[in-house]
Amino acid sequence: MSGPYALTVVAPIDSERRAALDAALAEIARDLDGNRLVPFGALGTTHFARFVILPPAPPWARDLLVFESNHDGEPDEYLDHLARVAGAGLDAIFGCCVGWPAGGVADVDAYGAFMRAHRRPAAAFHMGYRGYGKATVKNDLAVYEAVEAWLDEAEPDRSRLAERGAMQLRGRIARDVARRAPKLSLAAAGPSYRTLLIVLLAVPLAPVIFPTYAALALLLRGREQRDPVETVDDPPIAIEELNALHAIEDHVVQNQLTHLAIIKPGRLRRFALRFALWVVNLASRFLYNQGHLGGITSIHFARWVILDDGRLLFLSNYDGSWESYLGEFVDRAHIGLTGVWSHTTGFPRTRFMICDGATDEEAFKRWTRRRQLPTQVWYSSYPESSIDNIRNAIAVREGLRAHCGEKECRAWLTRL
Amino acid sequence: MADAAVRTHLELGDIQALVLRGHKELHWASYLFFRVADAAGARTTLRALVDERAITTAAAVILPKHGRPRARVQLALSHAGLTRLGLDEASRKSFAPEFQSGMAEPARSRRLGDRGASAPETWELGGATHALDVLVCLFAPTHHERDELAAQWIERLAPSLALELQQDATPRRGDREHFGFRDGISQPILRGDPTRDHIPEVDRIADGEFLFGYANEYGMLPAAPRTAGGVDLGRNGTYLVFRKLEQDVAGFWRYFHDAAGGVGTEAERLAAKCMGRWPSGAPLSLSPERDDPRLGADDAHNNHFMFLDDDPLGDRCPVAAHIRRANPRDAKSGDREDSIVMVRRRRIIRRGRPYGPPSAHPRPLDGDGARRGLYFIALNTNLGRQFEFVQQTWLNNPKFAGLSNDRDPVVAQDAERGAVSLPGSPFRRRLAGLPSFITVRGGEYFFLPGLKALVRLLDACAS
Repeated sequence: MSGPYALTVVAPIDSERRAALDAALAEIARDLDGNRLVPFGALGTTHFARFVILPPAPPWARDLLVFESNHDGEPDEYLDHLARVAGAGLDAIFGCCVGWPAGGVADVDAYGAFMRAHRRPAAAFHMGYRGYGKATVKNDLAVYEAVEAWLDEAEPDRSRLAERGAMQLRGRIARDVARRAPKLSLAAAGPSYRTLLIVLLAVPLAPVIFPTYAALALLLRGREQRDPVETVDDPPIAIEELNALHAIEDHVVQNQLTHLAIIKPGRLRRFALRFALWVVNLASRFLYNQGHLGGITSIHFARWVILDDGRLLFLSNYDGSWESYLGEFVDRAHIGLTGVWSHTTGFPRTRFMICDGATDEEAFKRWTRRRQLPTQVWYSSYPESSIDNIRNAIAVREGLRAHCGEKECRAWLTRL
Repeated sequence: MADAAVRTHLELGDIQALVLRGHKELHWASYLFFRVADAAGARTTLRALVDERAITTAAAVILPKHGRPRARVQLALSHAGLTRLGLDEASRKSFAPEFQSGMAEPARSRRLGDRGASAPETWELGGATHALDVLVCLFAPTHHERDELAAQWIERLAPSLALELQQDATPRRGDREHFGFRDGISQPILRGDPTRDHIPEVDRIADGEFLFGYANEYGMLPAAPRTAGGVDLGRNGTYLVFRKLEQDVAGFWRYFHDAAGGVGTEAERLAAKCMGRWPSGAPLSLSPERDDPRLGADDAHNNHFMFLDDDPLGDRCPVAAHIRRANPRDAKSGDREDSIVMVRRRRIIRRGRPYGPPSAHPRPLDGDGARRGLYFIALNTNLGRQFEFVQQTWLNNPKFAGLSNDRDPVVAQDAERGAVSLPGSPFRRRLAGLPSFITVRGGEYFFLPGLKALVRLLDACAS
């Protein structure tokens, strides 16, 4: 399996049905797992998902509804699965959009046509546990908890257990966990993702990337010195808007970010943006497929989508606080992010596309907040687990029965 | 500067002394909170304080040619205070959003962990309870002088500034906070501070992290407040975080006593594991097995350690320990340089002092009915990136540095399901059922202005 996959659906909202849409989204948000419209708890292959409403891009007048899902299984299969489990919800929600078939999801062909017409590709997509399905992640988190519980119970015996050595200890834990929780899978099944092969494919790309970058940087140099930029002297986001964003943050381990920027005019800019996103996407697949993206360690799933109306949509599902996430952007990943967002309006002053920009920390954070939108519905499958926890749980489960010696088993125990 | 012995680019004569010094040698302190009763009168009164040099500057306590003042006074204003003094809305909006919203804002409480018993609805200081417009911090060498000074200042500011609340600190006993640990050891120093050469390089931080008008750790000037007309209000000023943290000292020792099976030395060892230092202040990173009072008292050595090379997994100082969360040093990420750079951008200066009587017994197991704790004071120019980040992302974060469900065992005030893992052989020991030993009793964000900026601010309030 090479997933998870990114599904993005963007549909114009029928303004006369806006109230019904707001009501449906509010109903879902009240009970994410069990609501009657889109019961996320029953969508067994959905890692993270959201519904968010975007304001119109002049001269267009319609608001846009975006559905984002990070899911296992082939995209077409997933759309069938959605129709089966959340058909009522899709009818209620996309029924408020222009062009939804009169027969709703029941009209299988029309449903498929609508989704095809409104799906937008991710220009770049990053995932924190490539190759691991939700069932595996959930299984491994449960195995981890079972091992932790075993250790808690064994606490009074620790001095006696210490005499036995780590290998024996690990063997006993594996036996006991298997006996107590027979439904959990302890099989050492790694991801099918083949890093080596892909690295071999990626290396020849270097001679393409650097000359293209150099040419673009030179061609855009004049414009980037003249483009209007936002600085710390511009007023920050209004406190009411900021508080509206704060109100939906820090409820579970992850947070969501919906960010919408306007792409600067000109074909060269559009090409440069596509190129930058292509490089980021490449880096995410080949360089940063071990849980971090250019030094950012907290992203479960993130994507950039170029909208038809010339705007760049960024959707991210990340661990921890907004300040820590944006701080990692600035402290560690500013080159990549500047390379992308320098092609959108107002971005802090850059040099050669990738220098400066996000390193103007306060200006960059203000620029980001001003373009952030409240997310109406947001679902996380792992409200109590960080990406570090998930990757550690995978390693604990994989190590439970791996062939290894005393030293490796001791190291395995330090993961707990 | 005029004094040949002291070279610095900091404008010491304009900076309030608290930014550079904690006035430790003055053992008695009091925090007076005033409400603006009459804006015009209050502006005149505050202006007179600057003219009469009543607010202590860094020059007065650092430059040797000055006779050290016996008593010292610092002054700060809250957003409510600026509003009531008459500052227009457009100018107020140039202040940090955290400062504008105030500490008791609901989403902020979630971020800071001020919930349950620590929720602003229960606060006895700030929140909806009091108007904390103006904060005056007083420092004096004796109990008597402190009380006299407080009485003088209440009279001096009346009637346009009415006393809302007086909070008296108590002297530290041997530099220790109420749980019995020496604290305030690891403290960032402004790079421009002219008299702190012995401090390790890693603790010397860009001035702009703590003062507006100077470059910060990103090499940028921090976004400073200014009037709608563009007049700077920030220079030589900073934000001051005030929090009243009640400590359950008997609860603290009872918990560790029980976890240690009633063995006193083991209780102390477990508590030290959770703190990251022994009671004397000696760090576990340097003295993992037992307390070393000589090391604890030796400021040239007691803070000279890192985590990554010697103790990556926390066998000496657990990853979840308080001091490792509050200042992860080189171990925030897998990369030393990267971690140090990141941590330098999130330091705060702490100027807290205890309140309430010290416990009669050093490790009491039964409460004596007295209320005690810490007036936590922090200084920084970026509340979101510094104070709030440390509170939310390091101290209170159960996922800190890859942890699963551990809280700061000492200061987390939000430990519904508290637990902490202490690495050990053959496997970790998890202390479960960890209650909160801290309850937040109130707090607010203030702005501690430079003196010239204070005058400009008062002018802006009047126009």
